[in-house]
Amino acid sequence: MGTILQLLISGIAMGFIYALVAIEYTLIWNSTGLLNFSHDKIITVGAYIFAATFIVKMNMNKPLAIVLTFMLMGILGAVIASGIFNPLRHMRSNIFAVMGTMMLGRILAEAIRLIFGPVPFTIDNWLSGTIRIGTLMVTKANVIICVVAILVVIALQLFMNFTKVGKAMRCVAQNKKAAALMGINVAQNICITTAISAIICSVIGMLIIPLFNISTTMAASIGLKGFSAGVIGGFGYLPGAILGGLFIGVVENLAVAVLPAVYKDIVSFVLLIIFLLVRPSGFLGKKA
Amino acid sequence: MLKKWAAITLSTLMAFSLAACGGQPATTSGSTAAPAAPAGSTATGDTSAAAAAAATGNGEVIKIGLIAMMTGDNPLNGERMNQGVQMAVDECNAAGGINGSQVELIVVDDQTLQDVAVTSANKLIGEGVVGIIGPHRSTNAMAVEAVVKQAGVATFTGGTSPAISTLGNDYLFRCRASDGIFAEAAAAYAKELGCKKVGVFFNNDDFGAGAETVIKQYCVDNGLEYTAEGHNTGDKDFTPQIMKMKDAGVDTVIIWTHDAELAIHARQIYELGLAVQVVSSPGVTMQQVIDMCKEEYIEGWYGVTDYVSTSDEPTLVAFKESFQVKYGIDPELYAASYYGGTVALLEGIKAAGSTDRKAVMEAVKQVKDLKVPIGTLTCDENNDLIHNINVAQIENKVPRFIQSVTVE
Repeated sequence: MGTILQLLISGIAMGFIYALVAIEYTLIWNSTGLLNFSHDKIITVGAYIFAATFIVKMNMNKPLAIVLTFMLMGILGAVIASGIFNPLRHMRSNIFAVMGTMMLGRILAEAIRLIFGPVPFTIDNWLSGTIRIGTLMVTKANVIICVVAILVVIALQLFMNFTKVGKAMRCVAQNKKAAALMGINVAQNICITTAISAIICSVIGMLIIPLFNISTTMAASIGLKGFSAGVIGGFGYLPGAILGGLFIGVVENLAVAVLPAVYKDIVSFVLLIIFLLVRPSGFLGKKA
Repeated sequence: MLKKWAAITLSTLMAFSLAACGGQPATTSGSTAAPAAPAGSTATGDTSAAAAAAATGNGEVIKIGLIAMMTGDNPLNGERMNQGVQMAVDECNAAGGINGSQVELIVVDDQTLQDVAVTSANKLIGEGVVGIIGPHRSTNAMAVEAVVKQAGVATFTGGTSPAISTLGNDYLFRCRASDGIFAEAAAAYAKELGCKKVGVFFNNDDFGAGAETVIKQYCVDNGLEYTAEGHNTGDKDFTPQIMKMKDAGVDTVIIWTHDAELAIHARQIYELGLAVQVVSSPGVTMQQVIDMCKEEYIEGWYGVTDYVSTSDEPTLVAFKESFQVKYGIDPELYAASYYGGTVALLEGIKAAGSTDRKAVMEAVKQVKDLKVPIGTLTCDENNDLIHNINVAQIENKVPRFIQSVTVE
């Protein structure tokens, strides 16, 4: 029984990580109609910039490093938007921009390896420690990730519903042509959205450092599972991302209580395929 | 009409270039054969490989090659290989060379890729090397073994896949213990620690799965209870595996995986409260893994490895001091193992008394009880040179030498 409870708690904890990544996919999808498959690499870039450059190399104090990372990642997001999303979204099919993001992911991964070296490392005293409740254990980093995920969803919902820029984003998501006709600068909007997305990616990157250490593949598996979480929760509705993430996190952990643990990854992708076949709009998505 | 001719010309050119690129092992090595008159040189014997004719004792240079991974996933390890091998060559030359001839080291980068390893081997063979050190990775060693066999050049690899022992290639020598030996030694040490029920966390790739098979067999043969949980490279959460081990009530854990996964295992085993003794694959004694772990995560862990810097064995201490003097840094596993391999090659050339590649290979096969930093080299029928590994225990984030374990 203790094992099941611990698996449940760990599953929920990982689920919130998947949820944060799913929020990313949903955000970009909502505002540009495109899928950004380089999220996991942008997360890695955020982690490396924070840890390798600011903390290890320049020995900055952490709050300043966080702020500077946000700024740099925002600029990176804007560059990605102007370089890939904006030029490519006018093409006949969305597939070109999606392919562009996949290639961007590879470029980023190799750039990281060339600049920072391939050896994994970590930083000290950053969100480490655990919280124990009886025999159950959850890491402090996981708790912070839960809180941040919920805050991000609330903040984004407020932003999209109550600010001019946010409302413009929703218009762009619904119909780019009509939005343009209404005087919304679509290209600029996409830049802002991608910048916000990159900043959230860097948040994820910084938060997973104590859990996964820093390496070029630190975010590879959560990138894909985050996509599954987004599909399962329902693209197009942000709280659906949290639901999808939790669902995958819990189901995959409980599944390996009975299956050999080496099949854990298979579970999340089987779920993805089932949902795509049976209910493509996910739990909370609106039927297209 | 023009298009048709262009197509025919281009396809003919392509076909020719393919033919030119295919099978070129060893046919160009004749160009660098020693120019001195072969006074009393040994007969070369094999016809396809133009072995470098003997020319000892008259100031000729003896060339050996190194295939190191200077770029790719592990450039730091490749650099250490280079440093270790260069030091062995420099020490040999400082002591007068081999029978009066100086040794020259030619270094090629295989970028950790198999196809580049093959071209590197061909390049070195073409330059007339008498022996090759490297490549390091088992997959790269398997890629070049046919090439070096045909050219008849003694090659020393540190790849640990047990499959290398089954190749039956007289020219491929292994200068580190095979994974089979590491894994069996880990299981044997676990038994020595008094364990009754072993739990194995293993990576599902060749490295981990191969070790798991060996450990399982040992446990079956020695009456130890056994359970195992696998994971994949890139997995970041091992809660299910660790909870299952806790439920199974194991008293000792053996972990066999790569650096990144090892560090996460260490943290989660500590956090989830699996408080048993741990014997780990070599990764835990490497500085980059120790740096990723907090002290309490790996305190008291045992690791099986080639090289433990805190050993007081005289050959190792001497090597360590020379390395520090020469390069200003501490040596580690890659420098030490390939230094040993180079020493074996140079001894072989000296014993052969010539640079005839076949004679050198035969001489290396006779190597017995040659002391090197990572242990004692004795060549067995599978061309494995090392049969002992070292057990270290992590204390305050430093691997302390416990004992040396010899297998079979």
